[in-house]
Amino acid sequence: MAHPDYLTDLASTVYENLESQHDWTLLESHIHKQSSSLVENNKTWLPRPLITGLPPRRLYLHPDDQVELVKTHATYTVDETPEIEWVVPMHLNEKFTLKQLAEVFDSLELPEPLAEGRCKRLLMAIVHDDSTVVYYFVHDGIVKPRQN
Amino acid sequence: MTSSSPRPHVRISKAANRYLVFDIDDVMYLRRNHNICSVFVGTMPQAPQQSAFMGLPIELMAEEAQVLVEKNVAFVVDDSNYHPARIAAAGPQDKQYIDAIKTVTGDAQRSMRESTEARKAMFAYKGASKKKEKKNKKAPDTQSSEDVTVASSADAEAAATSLFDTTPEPAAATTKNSPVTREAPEAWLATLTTSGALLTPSPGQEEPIASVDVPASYPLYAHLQDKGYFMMPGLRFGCDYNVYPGDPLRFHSHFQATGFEWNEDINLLDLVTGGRLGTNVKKSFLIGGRVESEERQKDEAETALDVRAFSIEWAAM
Amino acid sequence: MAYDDEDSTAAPPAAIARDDPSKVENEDVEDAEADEAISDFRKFASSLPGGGSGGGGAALNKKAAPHVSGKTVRRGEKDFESHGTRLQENTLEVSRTAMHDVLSYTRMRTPDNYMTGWYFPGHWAQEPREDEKPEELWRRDRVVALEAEKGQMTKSMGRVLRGAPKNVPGWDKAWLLPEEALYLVERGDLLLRWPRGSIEGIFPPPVEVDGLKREVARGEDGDYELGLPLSLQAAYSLFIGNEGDRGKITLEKFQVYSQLRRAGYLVSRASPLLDPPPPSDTQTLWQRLFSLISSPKSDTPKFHPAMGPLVRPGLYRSYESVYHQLSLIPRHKPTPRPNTPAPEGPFTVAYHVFKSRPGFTKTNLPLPDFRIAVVNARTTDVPDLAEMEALLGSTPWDPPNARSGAGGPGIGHMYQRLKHGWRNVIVAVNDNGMVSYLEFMESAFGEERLFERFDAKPKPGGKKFSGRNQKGGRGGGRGGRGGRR
Repeated sequence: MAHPDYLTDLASTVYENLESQHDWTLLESHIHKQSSSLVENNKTWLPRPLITGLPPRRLYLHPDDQVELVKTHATYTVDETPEIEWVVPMHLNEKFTLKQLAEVFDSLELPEPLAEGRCKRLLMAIVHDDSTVVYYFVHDGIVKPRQN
Repeated sequence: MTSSSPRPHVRISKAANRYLVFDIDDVMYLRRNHNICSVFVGTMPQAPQQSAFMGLPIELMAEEAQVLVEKNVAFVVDDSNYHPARIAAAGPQDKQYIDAIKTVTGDAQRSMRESTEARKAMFAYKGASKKKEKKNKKAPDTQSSEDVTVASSADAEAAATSLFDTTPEPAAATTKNSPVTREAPEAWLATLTTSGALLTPSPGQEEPIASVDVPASYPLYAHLQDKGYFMMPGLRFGCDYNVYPGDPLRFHSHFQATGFEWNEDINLLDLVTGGRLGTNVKKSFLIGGRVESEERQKDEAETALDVRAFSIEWAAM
Repeated sequence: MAYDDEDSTAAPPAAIARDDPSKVENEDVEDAEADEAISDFRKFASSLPGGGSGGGGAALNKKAAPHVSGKTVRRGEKDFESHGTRLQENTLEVSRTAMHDVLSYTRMRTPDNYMTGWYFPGHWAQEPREDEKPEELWRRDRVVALEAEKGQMTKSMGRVLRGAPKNVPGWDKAWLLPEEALYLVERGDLLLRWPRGSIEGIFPPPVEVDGLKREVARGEDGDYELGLPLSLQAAYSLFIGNEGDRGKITLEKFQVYSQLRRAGYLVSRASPLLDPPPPSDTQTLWQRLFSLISSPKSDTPKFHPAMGPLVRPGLYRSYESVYHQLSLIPRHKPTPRPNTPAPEGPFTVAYHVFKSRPGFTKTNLPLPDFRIAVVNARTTDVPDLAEMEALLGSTPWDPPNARSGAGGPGIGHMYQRLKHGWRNVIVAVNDNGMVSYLEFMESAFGEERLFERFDAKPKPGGKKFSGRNQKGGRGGGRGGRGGRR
């Protein structure tokens, strides 16, 4: 099923916001599941349009890695190496359900398997009418908070 | 500790749809073995003018009562009806109960007598040494006022100690002033914390088991409980549960958790609110609920807990 | 207590524990963390006489101890998560052991210091509710008769029902409400007893020589034959009930009651009989006349043409006439005699709360400092406008003025006035034993005519705005749980 226009428009708003306000690079829009898009006639639609991109600096560091960094007195290089993030654009007036959230996660295909004890995450981009966008990390599971 | 013989079930008192546990051993058992600590809701008789430290009973959330019943380590009794009925039914359990009171009061009186005597000796010694001290200190006139302070603070200390070891004010005063040869002191009275033997059912009967009404967020609670988290009511953080990675005595909480049904609409603004509040208090906002899929509905064995949860944090961008 | 509307000039009762877990002074991270209300029992135990437990034998921790203020005890450090270290385990174990010891305490006293109360739940059950007098409030719910009033506590608790005929047994005794009795039992001030006989056996009618008969009735078992001394658990089973159960109290209300009492407040069950009558109409009429004379531009809706500008073209020399024409939407105007229905359900004032003061007498209650409604967080939604209006309408007219501590007239006091409101009420939200307090007030922004200020001649050199408290009202929504069910 093709996505309705408002979802596509929402995605382009967020795309522009990431590109122009947050200096993301390697931005890509996704409307089909990646594995399926190789075969021309067998494309599976994603539940919603998604965006991938590379932020200018690392956005998320798992608390265990934080601890590890402190322990090894590593320099901030690891900390600063950015990672590709998945973004799901939404509008503040939308409602969602756990089921829909689960479907989005289940449609995510990561390039490499996750490390032990880690789970998928995505950035929820929430757009308001004045085109303000706020970003929240959503983890697919029970993930303890980062320590600051 | 209690590995050899199975521990007796924890008795949960249900009063007007609230769930209470009064036995301190049960409370500590739940805390150590079932990661349930709950809220202490009673005034502490030792320190009744503060609310920072609270005493028995603990009030369980309905979810906690239900989990314990499902684990077969506790049972719930409708105490609003059963308990008064047991008190009213005079019987052999009365004597057992009264004996328990007498044991406690008797022990206390005995130990008080002993420690009073020990302290008398102590006082005699202390008083003497204080006097010596004073004498040694005796020096220019200007010092004399300080002497007074020393003496009075020593008195206060003595008075205070006697307060601790005997009963409150008036009694302490009388013991002090009355001759030492006061024969049998008045029998002490006690309010036990639990009713103990009084609640023993009549022969051939059992305590009536009451049901537990759990809220819709129960699956998420049970899921987190199963993973070893400690949960407290979420009032202070606008959620269902405040979730701790270990005993709250020792650890800060990690999550504010709110349960939803699988197909229940969630306002995105609620997610923003929860996520932002959580970040401000160094927590993650956790949402979750029981997975409902078509296959599972057909499945008979739906009792297995299939809960999915998501953690939300502000991305700081 | 989160009585955050209490100005600092009003000295809090000496007994208020400063680090009461429910107290949130501001909402930064540290406070929110501290607010997690987890107490360090190790330190607490060591602050108790005799180290709380250890040391002198089994019975030491069971002794009656003097009152310890929470302020003497600091919370211990907490960690983010388990490191699996022995140190961490040991610290936790020490805390748990201390907790176990402190809470193993048994309430115990000599008869001289222990009040005795007898449970007679049906004694006043038949009394009609209609002809209650302020001195005998809630007599049907009074279920415990005190043998004798002892100590400070009874100065504010229990009532002798003066109206009862003298041939009724217990007529001269102070009778306690369920929350009072349970609170006294918890404090260790009251030995609650279940009579094994009729009330005449406990309180012989006055024809007998008082006291003598009871001596005879007591066997060698002391009082035990007359009636069982009850446990704390038994007291909960007798006194905790559902809303509206006679002679009982809901657990959420009891917890709020006892928390307020522990904090040093005096608390009385609310009753319309205790409220002052609304201010007489003559005064408002006079005020109305006066306002008509002094300000011809009243708030009555004006005629606006269907088309054209809101503000008629013309020459204006003051903002006031412009703003007057702009005012389209009728604004709320507080009135001393609101036409709201009586509140129903949980959003009803349950308790009157008084700051501790000298000369307080329970038979002649002053006007309360606070009015509190108690709701269960799990069964109650956020109140709708009708519920809130009814709740506020049931509280007395309390306009902001110098007497109510909200400053005088003038723009400088605007925020004080808005913050104080015209009526106010506190809602205690109870989530399984955790309580948050929220204050609601009837505010009237329409009463603050900001535009009048624009016409005032600026003072030379003076700042135009004397906005020294620009923060506005405190967020009232702290700790409130959403209305989701």
